[in-house]
Amino acid sequence: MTEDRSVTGAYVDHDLCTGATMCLQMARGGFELDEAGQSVFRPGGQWAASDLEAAADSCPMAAISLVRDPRKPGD
Amino acid sequence: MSETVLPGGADLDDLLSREAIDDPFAFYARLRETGPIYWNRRWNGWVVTGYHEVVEGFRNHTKLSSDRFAGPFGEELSAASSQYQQLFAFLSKFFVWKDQPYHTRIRSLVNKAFTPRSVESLRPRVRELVDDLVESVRGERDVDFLARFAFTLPIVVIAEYLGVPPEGRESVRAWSEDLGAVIFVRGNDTDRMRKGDEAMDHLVEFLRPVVAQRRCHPQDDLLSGLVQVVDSGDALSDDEVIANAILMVFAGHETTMNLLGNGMVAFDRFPDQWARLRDDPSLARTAADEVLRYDGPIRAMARWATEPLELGGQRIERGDRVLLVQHAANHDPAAFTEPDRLDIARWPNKHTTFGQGIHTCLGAPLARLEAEEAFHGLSQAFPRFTIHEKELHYVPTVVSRSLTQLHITFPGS
Repeated sequence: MTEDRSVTGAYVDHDLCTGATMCLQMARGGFELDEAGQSVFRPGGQWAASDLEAAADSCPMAAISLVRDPRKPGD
Repeated sequence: MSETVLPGGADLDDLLSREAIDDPFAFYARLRETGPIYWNRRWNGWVVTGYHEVVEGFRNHTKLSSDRFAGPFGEELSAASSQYQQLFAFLSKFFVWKDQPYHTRIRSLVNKAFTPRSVESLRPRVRELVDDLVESVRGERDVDFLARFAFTLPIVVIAEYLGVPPEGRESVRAWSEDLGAVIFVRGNDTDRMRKGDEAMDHLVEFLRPVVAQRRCHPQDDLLSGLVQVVDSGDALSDDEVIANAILMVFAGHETTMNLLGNGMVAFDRFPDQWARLRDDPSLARTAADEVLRYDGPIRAMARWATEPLELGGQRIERGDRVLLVQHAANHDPAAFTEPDRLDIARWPNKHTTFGQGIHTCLGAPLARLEAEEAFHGLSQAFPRFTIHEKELHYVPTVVSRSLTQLHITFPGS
């Protein structure tokens, strides 16, 4: 998978997230669990765009969507 | 006897009563109305039936353990484990029954093969299999639906994906059924363990040369993938590959078979929803989740407390057994409007059938895909169908929701 530099963040849909935590394995600095045990994106955390892509891909519930900056097109 | 007896006469502590097994909708509703969590004397543990309490229980994996080889479940197994060594040597490597870190290590290695994107590549093959199966039952008066459709689809899909040789599939089915008796605690105790031990022995001996062969000649299948990670930094031993391949074969068909069977019964009860799906096939995706919610293949999953905790206002002590009843949670009016109605457009549908937390079903995307394609294919081919059984019966277990048999007539073209 080639890294898409336009990826600037992620969004976790809490109607879908079951707290499987695969995203925390794939992008440790990018996600954390809230009090209810559901994943939330950490905008200020340490992550690379490729980590977020891997996290979104790994989710068994397809709960993670990537946020892209249209002004920074991917390679 | 001072058991919890309701005015209707049902014993709320008997999770294997006729009513609990054949009509869990009514039985679990009464449990839930009594309290979202209560101490069950017969099962000797806490039974959790409220939606929010079940979800909270699943997500609290640090205090509610899945380990079957420690705590109260381990004590029960330790006597048997010396007698049935092969069975327990391999069951103890099933990552589903382990806590962190082993669970997370194995899960992370196999997760890639079961992501929604990875299983999407199987859709054309699943559709082709569904089309063939639909033609094979068209116009037949007395189709054994579980054997001829609901079993065949998932076993072929998972066997092909893993790379299990086709000639072994019928044997794998029989062994898997004996193993299922151990896993779902079905039938007579000694008989169950003896057969399960033999079945595990056969499965291991069947898979060992296949795994060895994949090590020398990798192919484009999941067994080769599992073997290959042995050679990178984070390695799986041969026995770990074999054990978790057996887990995937087992988990990959038994539950999906029951999902498809239960789905046909649900659509028979709500023919308007069958017609709706036939008219609008784009509802197949949400229909799959609604069948999973309405009458999924799993009733409940067991945990045990490694530390004291509060759940639903009750204090659970260290060492207590806890049964999280997903079927009950999925019908809790606190979480679903008109929970006892099948609504194939229901969305969002935050059912608990795949579990929650770190043990969320690995195969969920594959199960959804198979159910989607099966109900889509069948509803397009048959405007109606007839179930033969006047009364449906289910296998008496606390864990799974499995029909004993299901015979269907499908009209001709």
